[in-house]
Amino acid sequence: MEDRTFRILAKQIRALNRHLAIEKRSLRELLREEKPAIRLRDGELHRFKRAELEKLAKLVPEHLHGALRLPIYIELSSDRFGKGTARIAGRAECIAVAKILEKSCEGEELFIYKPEIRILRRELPTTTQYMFTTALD
Amino acid sequence: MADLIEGVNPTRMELLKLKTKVKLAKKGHRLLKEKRDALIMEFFNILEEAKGARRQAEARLREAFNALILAQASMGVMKVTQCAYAAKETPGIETYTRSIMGVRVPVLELQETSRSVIERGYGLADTTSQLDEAAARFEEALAAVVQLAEVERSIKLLAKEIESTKRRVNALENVLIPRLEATVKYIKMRLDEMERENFFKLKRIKAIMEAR
Repeated sequence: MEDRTFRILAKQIRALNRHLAIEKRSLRELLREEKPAIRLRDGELHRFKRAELEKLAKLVPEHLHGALRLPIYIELSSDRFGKGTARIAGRAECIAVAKILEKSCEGEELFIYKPEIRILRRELPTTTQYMFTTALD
Repeated sequence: MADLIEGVNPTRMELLKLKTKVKLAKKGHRLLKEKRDALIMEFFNILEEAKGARRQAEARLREAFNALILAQASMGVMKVTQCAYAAKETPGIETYTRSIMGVRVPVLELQETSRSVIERGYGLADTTSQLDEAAARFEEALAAVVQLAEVERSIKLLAKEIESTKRRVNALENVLIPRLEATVKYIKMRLDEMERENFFKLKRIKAIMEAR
């Protein structure tokens, strides 16, 4: 009985990130497509809204369009960053998110908090995704 | 005190196994809780959107039906019905899905909403400007209704996922983790007791041997 419960639990933990992309795609590449989409790990297709891509294209300098890989991951890990804190990784991604949230972005990563996550998801519902991670111990 | 796991042997091996399970359960609980919180956040975001969308759809439909009544008053109900039959098909809706943490929510995109008077298909000679106005208002209303449909369906799907995630989190928090921790405690207690028993036995044997 207990073993079965744990098999289910392990399966659920594995399934937490099945909505992530098999491979991220650059903004430049996606802007050229008529129906911009990516394939997810669960086999489904995830379409990006063109309006969002165009918004991102305006926010990020043109030379970084190739470096901005979508979807942008909002990394949640309460044991690593604390509850309600999320990390955005990548130079171009940080610039885009910082501009939306009107924050400053210095390095390769940016930490944002719950109210900001809400704003970010409202502004970019299809081009951002949640990612759940945990510390290796 | 929580129930113990049935049929468990109080051995060191079992204790180690259970400790690993507690760790996994706690990790799972933390992750699922994070997912639940994120889902609730998404739910409220969409709920806010829904409030505006519903208000807008209702207002647009009210305007459209008022315009229709005026058109019917000026042209007659029969004539308006005839024009409706003559009108070309409504603009197409493109449907696809997006994923919110594994929940497939629909995205409905109306390809083109407003059409010119000629594109609508009915004759211009025996129709009034009120009919054109009513058609234009209905086209606007269609966009609002499509947006409302997308948002309301997303709310239903997200609510369902929140419910099942919540149930899993509660099962871990209130049943599984307490049961595992109680069993770990029980095994530790039994092992300590066995150790004390052995110690006492050795003491007794030593005393008997010394007495001889």
